Amino acid sequence: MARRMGRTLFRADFVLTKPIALSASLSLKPREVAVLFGPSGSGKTTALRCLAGLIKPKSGSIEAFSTIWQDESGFFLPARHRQVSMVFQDYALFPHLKAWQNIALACSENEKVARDWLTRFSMSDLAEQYPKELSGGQKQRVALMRALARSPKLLLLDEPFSAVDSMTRKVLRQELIKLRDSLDCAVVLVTHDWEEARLLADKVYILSDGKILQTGTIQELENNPQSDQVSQIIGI
Amino acid sequence: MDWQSFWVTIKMALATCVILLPFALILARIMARHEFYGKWLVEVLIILPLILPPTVIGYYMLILIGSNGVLGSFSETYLNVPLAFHMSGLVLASVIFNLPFAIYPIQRAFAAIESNLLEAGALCGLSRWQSFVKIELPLVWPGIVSALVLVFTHTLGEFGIILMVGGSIPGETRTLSIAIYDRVQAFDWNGANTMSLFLLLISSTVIYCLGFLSRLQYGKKDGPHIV
Repeated sequence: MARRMGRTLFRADFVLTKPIALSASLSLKPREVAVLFGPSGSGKTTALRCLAGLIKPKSGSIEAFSTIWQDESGFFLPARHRQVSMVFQDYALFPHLKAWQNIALACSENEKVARDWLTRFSMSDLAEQYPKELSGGQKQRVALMRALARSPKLLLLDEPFSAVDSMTRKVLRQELIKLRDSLDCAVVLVTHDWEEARLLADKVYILSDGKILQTGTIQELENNPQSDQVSQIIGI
Repeated sequence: MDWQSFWVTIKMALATCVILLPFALILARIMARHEFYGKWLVEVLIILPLILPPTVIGYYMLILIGSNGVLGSFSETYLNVPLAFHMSGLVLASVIFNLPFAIYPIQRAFAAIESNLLEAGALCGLSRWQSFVKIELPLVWPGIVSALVLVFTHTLGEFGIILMVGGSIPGETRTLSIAIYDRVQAFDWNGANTMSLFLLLISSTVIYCLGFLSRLQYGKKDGPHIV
C-alpha cells in the first residue's frame, strides 16, 4: 500500500573531518523511510549521529521541517532541542529506570503516555521491569517506544535489529513494517543487511569510505548500479 | 569508654563526609569526563595523601594552619576561626587526607557510565542538569556510597595526622584513636580494648548500612554492590 508522503522537507548537507572523514547530502520527505546502506566503517552511524546533533559537523547545513538545525554561519542546534529521536544499536536504555520510566523520560515524565505506549505494544505487563530483566526483543521495543514517545519529526534507527537473534529479527522487522504506515515522521535507518533495506526502504543511500556512492530506490539500485563498487556492496 | 572522644570522632567523620561529598562529586566528574592542561598535576595532588606518611602531611598541615601559616593566620584574622589544635583544623586536615578515598570511587563510577546513555538523555530532551540529576547521579550512587563508607571509616581510624594537627585535647581534638593510644600508654588494656571493639562495631555497622542503601536503587535483585 502506497503511503502518503509530502514534499521534501528535510535537507542535510554536511562535511565531517573527525572522528572520520565524511561527506553526506540527504533529503527526505515527511513519512519517508531512507536507508543508509554500506559496509562496516563506511560512516553510516556517524552520519546518523550528525543528523541527531550528537556530533557537530565541520561545516554544512541541516534544515528540518521549517527549522534550521545547523547552518553555514556556525549555528548548531543541540540534540536536546531537535525534534529527533534515535534507537541506538545497543538500545541505550537507562539501567536504573523501569520500562515505563525509560519511556516517560522522553515525554516530560508523563506516566500515562508511557503506559499507553506499553499497552499499544502489548507490553503493559512488563512496565515495572528493569532493562536487565527484559529480553533483547523487549529491550528493542522499549527503545523504540521511548524514541516515538517524544513525537519526533525524524526517527533515526541505528541497526536496531543487530543485537537480536534471527527469529526475533524477523518478528521485529514485521512489527516495524506495520508501524511504518502509522508513523508521522521521516525515518533514517542504518543497516548493512540488504534484505532489511528491501523490506523497509523508500530510498537508499549507498555509503562507502565516508562518501555517498549512489542514491535511489531499491529497484533503481538493483537494476542500474552506477559502479562495480555499488554492485559489490549491495551484493548483486 | 571515653564518650567525649567518641563524639569528637563522630563529629569529625560526619563533617568530613558532608564537606567532602559535593567537592568530590564535582572534581570526580571533571576528572572522569574532561581532558585539560595540567590534569596530571591534579591527579598527583589527589593521590598524594595516599602515598605520603600521615605525619608528613600532618607536619605540612601544621605549618599551613598554624597561627603564622598562610591559612591559619587568614582564618584567625578574617574568619575568627583558629585552625591548629581545634576541631575546624582537624576537619580541614581530614578533608585533605581523605581526598583520594572520596574522589576515586566516584570518578570510577562516572567513567563507567556509557556515553550513549548521556546521548540518549539528550535525545529525550533533557538539559545537562536534568541529565546529571536523572541519569548520572543515580548511576554513580554506588560510587558515592563506596566513597562515603571509605571516608567515614577511614576518618574513624585516623591517627598520625590528627595527632600532628590537633594533639590530644579532651573534648576538642582527642578522637577515639588517640584515646586508645593514650589508654595503651597508660597500660589500661581494658579501656583500650573496649574502645577498639566499639570502633570495630561502628565501622562494621556503617559498612553494612551503606551497603544495604546502595542496593535500594535498582531493587534487591540487581542492586549494585560496594566495590
